[in-house]
Amino acid sequence: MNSFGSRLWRFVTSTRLALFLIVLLTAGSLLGVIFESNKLPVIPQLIAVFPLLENIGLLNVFTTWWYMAIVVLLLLNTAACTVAQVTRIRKPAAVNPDYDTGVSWPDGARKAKEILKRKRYRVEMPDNGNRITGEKHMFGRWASVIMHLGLVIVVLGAFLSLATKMSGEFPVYVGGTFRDVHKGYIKIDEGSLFFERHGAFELELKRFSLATDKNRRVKSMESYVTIYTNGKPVKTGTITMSRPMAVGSLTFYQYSLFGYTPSLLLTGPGNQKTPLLLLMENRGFAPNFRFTSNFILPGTDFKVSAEFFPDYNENPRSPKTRSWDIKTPALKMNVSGNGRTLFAGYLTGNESVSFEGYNLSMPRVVYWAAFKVVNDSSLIMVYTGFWTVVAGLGLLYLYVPKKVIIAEVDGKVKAGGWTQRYRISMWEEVREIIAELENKH
Amino acid sequence: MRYEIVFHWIAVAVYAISTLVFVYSLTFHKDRFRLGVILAAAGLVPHTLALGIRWIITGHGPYLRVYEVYSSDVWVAILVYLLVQKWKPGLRVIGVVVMPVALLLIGLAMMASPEIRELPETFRTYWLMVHIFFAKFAYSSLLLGTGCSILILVKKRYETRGGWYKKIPALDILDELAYSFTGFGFLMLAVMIVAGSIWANNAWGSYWSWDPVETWSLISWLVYGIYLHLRRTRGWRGARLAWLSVFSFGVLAFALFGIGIFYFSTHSPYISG
Repeated sequence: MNSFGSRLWRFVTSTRLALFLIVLLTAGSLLGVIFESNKLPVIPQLIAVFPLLENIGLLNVFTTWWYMAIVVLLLLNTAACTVAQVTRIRKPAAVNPDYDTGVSWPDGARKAKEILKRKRYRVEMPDNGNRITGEKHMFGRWASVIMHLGLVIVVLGAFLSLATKMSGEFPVYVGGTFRDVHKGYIKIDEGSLFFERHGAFELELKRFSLATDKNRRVKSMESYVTIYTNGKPVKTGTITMSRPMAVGSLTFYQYSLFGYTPSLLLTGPGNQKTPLLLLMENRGFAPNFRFTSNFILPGTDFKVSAEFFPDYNENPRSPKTRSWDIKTPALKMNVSGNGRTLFAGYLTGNESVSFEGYNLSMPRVVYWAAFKVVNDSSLIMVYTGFWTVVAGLGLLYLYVPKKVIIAEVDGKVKAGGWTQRYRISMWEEVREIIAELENKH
Repeated sequence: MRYEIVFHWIAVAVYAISTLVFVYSLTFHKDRFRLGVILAAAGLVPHTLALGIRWIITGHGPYLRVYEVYSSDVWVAILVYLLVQKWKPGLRVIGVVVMPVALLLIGLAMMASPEIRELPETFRTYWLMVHIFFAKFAYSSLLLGTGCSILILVKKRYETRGGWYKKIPALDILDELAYSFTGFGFLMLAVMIVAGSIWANNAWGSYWSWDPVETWSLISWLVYGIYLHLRRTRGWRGARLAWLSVFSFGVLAFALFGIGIFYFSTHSPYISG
C-alpha cells in the first residue's frame, strides 16, 4: 500500500490538490482579466518597469503555456478524482441505527414500513430479518461523478476545438459568390491540427437587406444565400444576425456590413465603354462607418480618391448619409491627373459626370456583406459536457440520496439515517419518522 | 412611461421603509421583522406594475441597461426572499441583508437613464431568456446564501446579548441553509454560463471568447466551487466559511457592477449606461 504508485494515486486524487489547482486557475483567470484587456492605465507603466511581466505572457494569459498547464493538471486531477469517487460509490452507504424510539419490534417494524413507503422510500426487509432499509434517490450518489465527468468532457472538447477548429471571415457582394480558398478570407484562424480542406464550399449572396435604428446603428441584417459543396447547391435560405445557417460541420453567420459595390460605367473617347466594379470597404467604426477607396480609372492615368454614401444627405449640418440603406447613393470623388484636379464633386445614380473627354456614370449599387464561417466538429463534445455538468449539478442539489435504517436492538426499534448532503434535514426526517412511530404526530 | 416611473418610485419608497424597519430591528434589538416582510411584499406590487408597464412599452423583458437590469434583479431577489421566508419563517431575519442590498440596487436603477433601447437582433433568441432567467435566480439564491452566512457571523458575535438574536436559527441550520442556497446558486450560475455560451455561439460563432464579463463569471463560479469543495471535502463550517461566502458574493457582484466600469465587454452596452 505504501508503494510509490499508491502514494502517487493518493496525491493525484487528493482534494487538496484539486483546491490548490482551482485557486491557481482562478488567480490565472483574474490576471487574464486584469492584464489582457489592458485598459487600466497602470498596466503599461508596470510593463515598462517590469518587462518580465510581458515575457511571461501576462498580456495574453489565456494562451500561455502555464495557464494551459494549470488547466491540463486540473483536468487530470478531476479525471482521477472521478475514478476514485466511482470506487467509493460502489460501496453501500453505511448507516447506524443510533436513535432509540421506545417502540417494540415487530409492531414497530410494520408501522415503520408503512411510514417509509408513505415517504416514498424504497423499502427492503429480508425475511425474518431484524432490519428494514429505506432508500430514496440513491442514483443521486452519482451526481458528483456525472458533474465532474461533464467538466472533463468540456475541457477535452475545448482543447480538441482549439486544435481542430477553423473560423474565417469573408466578404461577398450581392450577386457574387465566395469560393473557399485561403487567400479569400479577411481573417482566418485555424487550429494547429485543422486539416486544410479549402474549396469545401461556395456561398452565393442573392439578396441582402439591413435596418438601422434612429441613431444610425445597424440593428439587423438579413441575407438570402445558396451554399454549394462540390459545385452543387445544397442549401438555400436566410441568414440573420440571430439565426446562422448550418451545412454539415460548417456554420455560416451574418457578420457585418463590409461595404458597398457601386458599378461604374466609364465612357471614353470614341464611345468606348468600360465597366468598373468598385469595392468600397468600411474604414470607420460603428456607427460612424466610412466607405472609401483609392483607384486608377482603367485605361487612363487618372487617380481617383472616393468615398461612398448610400443615402446621401445634402444638408451640411447633418451626417452625409441619412442611413446605411441604399436609397440615394452618391460617390464623392476627387479625380486627378496631369498634376491637377480634374473633377471634385459627387457622382449620383441619376447624374453622370464628365471630365477630360470621359464620362462616368453609376448605374447600380449593391451591398457588400461579410460572413463568418466556422468549422468546429468538437462543438458537440463541448455542449455534451456542458449539459452533463448541469445534469450532475441538478442531481447533486435537487436529488439528494437518503437512506434510513430501522433495526431491532434488544426487542426495541432503533432508527438511523444517512444522506450525502444536508445532514440537518436528514436528522429532521429521522426525527419525524421516530415521532410518527411513537404516535406523537 | 410616466406611470412606470411613478410605480417605481412608490416601490422605492416602500422598500426604503421596509429597510428602515429591518435596520431598526437590528439596531434596537426589536423583533419587527414581520412588519419588514409585509412592507417588502407591499413594495413588490407597484414594482411588478412598473416592470409590467415597461415590458409592454419596450416589447421586451426588462434586461437592457442598468435601469431595467437592476430593477428586475431586485424584483426577483425580493420575490425569492418572500417565498423563502414563507417556507422557513426563521429566515425572515435575512431581510436585514436582502432589503438594504435591494434598496441600493433599485436606487442605482432609478439614477440611471430610463431611455428605451431597442432589442438588438442578436438578442432575439430563447437562449438569452434562459441565460437571463438563470442569472437572476443565481444572484438571488447566492444573495440569500450570503445572507445566511452574515447571520452566522452576527449570531456568533452577539448571541449572548439575547433579544432578537435568539430568534436567528441555530448555527448548524444556518450553515446548512447557506450551503443549500449556495449550491443551488452554483447550479443556476452553471446554467447561466452554459446558456450564455450557446447564445454567443449562435450569435457570433464562438462559445467562449474570454470576454471580461464571461471570464469574471467563470471566476465567480470557480470561487463558489472552492467554497463548496471546502465545505464538502475539507469540513469547513462556521465563521471562516461564512467569510468566504461574503467574499465570493463580492466577486460575483463585481461581474455585474464592476466589470462594466473598468473594462469594455460584449455585455457593457446592455448592463451599463
